[in-house]
Amino acid sequence: MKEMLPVIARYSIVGDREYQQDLCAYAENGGLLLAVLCDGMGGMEGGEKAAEAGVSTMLGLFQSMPPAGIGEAAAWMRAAFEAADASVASLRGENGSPMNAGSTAIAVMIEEGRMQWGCVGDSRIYLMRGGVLSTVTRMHNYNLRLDEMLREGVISPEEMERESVRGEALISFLGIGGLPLADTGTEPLPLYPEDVIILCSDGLYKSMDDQQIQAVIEESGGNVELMVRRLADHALRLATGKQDNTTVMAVRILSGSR
Amino acid sequence: MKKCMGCMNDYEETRGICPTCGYSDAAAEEQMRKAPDLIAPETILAGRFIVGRALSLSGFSAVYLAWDALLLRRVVIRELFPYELCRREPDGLRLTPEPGAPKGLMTECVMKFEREVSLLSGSQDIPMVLNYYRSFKENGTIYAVTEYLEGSTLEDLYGGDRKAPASLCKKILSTVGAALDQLHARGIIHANLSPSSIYMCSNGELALIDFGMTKRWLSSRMRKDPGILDLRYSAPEILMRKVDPTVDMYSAGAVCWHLLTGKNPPDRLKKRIHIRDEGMGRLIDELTAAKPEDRPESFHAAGVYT
Repeated sequence: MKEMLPVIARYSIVGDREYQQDLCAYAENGGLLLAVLCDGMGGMEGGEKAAEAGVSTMLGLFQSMPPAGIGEAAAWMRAAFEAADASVASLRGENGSPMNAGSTAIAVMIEEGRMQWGCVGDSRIYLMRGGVLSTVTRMHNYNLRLDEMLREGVISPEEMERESVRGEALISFLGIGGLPLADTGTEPLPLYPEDVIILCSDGLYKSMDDQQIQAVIEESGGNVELMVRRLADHALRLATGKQDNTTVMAVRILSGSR
Repeated sequence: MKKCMGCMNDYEETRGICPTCGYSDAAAEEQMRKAPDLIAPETILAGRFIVGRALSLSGFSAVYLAWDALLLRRVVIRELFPYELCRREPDGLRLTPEPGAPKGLMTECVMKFEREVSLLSGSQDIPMVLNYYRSFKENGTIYAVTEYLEGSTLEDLYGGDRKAPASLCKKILSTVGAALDQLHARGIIHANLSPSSIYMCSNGELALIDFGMTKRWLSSRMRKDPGILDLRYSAPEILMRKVDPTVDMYSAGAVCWHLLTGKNPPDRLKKRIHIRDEGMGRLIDELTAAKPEDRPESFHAAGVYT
């Protein structure tokens, strides 16, 4: 059987912000690969601390209590998100009062050509396969609720329009204290050679549309280091307003046989 | 606002002429008059690229400045247009096979070029090599999209009988040699090294451009010399069925000899022109050995870089 090896790269830019509140990391444990990205929010260094707490809690659990295999990854991720949520919620400022910081979290776990994914908040996971770019995750923001309410007739189109100015506010995030929403895939996804998985904070997709992201991936000659750097650099260049912190991770699946 | 097809900057339409580079509709018309086979400026390719002024035209391809309307940046587009194999249709865009040309050769040429671009696209991690982003097939031919670099070729800078100092030659040889060793390790041969395919960027860095694997293959298949390769810098065996990477060693040596002497490389074999720097003289003799097996097997082995 052909072995499928993932290659992974990551890259972050501060953009036009004063602080870097995005954080990402990856680790291996007994044949499992975990990649995590957290986009923190909260005044001053609150966002940075929240993202740190998110990433370190999840990585720590991965090293000390990994799932038995990819089949258990979804449950593991939900539990890891809960733990990270509690960790961020318990952050205290210098004066001992709650920091009121939060963070998104997205994660991808891979074992022997199968992948499981998880998401809390509005960071995004893309899958590029066979020349098609698809978004794997959905955004946990107010727009999600508004869409639901409009469809169910709970609110009118006029009310929807009025409310949607606040549409991008997150309704689920690490630090909320009891996650209302945490998504994972149902079954592990089989991966194929040349698949590319992109994890990114909203800094990327707010400045670049799917077509642009796809074009940059396609022209990088399969080189993940080039992909992540170019995606962030293009996002900075193409931004119409101020560019947010932007973090990109790319995982490419190589066929192991040479 | 109008986008200038000469430099891709925007300017006020009422001005009539681009304030950055001086290009105008008159310049576009002049290009079409002088070289009617070229794609007209403002033609759109792949529903994404706006073709600008032509940068060069040879028996193998036409090269254009272009605007990438998706990623909002300048690029360079190389259109495969082998003069002996195909001709431009009256629509000014489509290429159709020349009736007299060998059947299937254009199609095979497109395939070879696609493969060359794919190999180069996988080598964008090597600095000093022009980034080949992608290719696409349309209008009966294939186009390569590469990055746009500000600067000039060594031909522009040292063409004719201008001489370059030995120090510059050493720098060129070491940079180009290091890049070529990496490319050779991946099965890529440049095959078209000359002062026109070595670029001096505005920031002082060198880049290898205008790769020639497909050019070489096509030249070896044509019965008469179609002027595709610049044979002045080519190894003697360049048109054989198969060549090895040492063709690049030969050409690098020939380029250095030209830069140092300001003379045409074929003269090297006829006249005994003395190279003042003895080390360089010896190195050039090694690189340009008539038999491939007598040339260094890598630029590193030749001591060109450490």
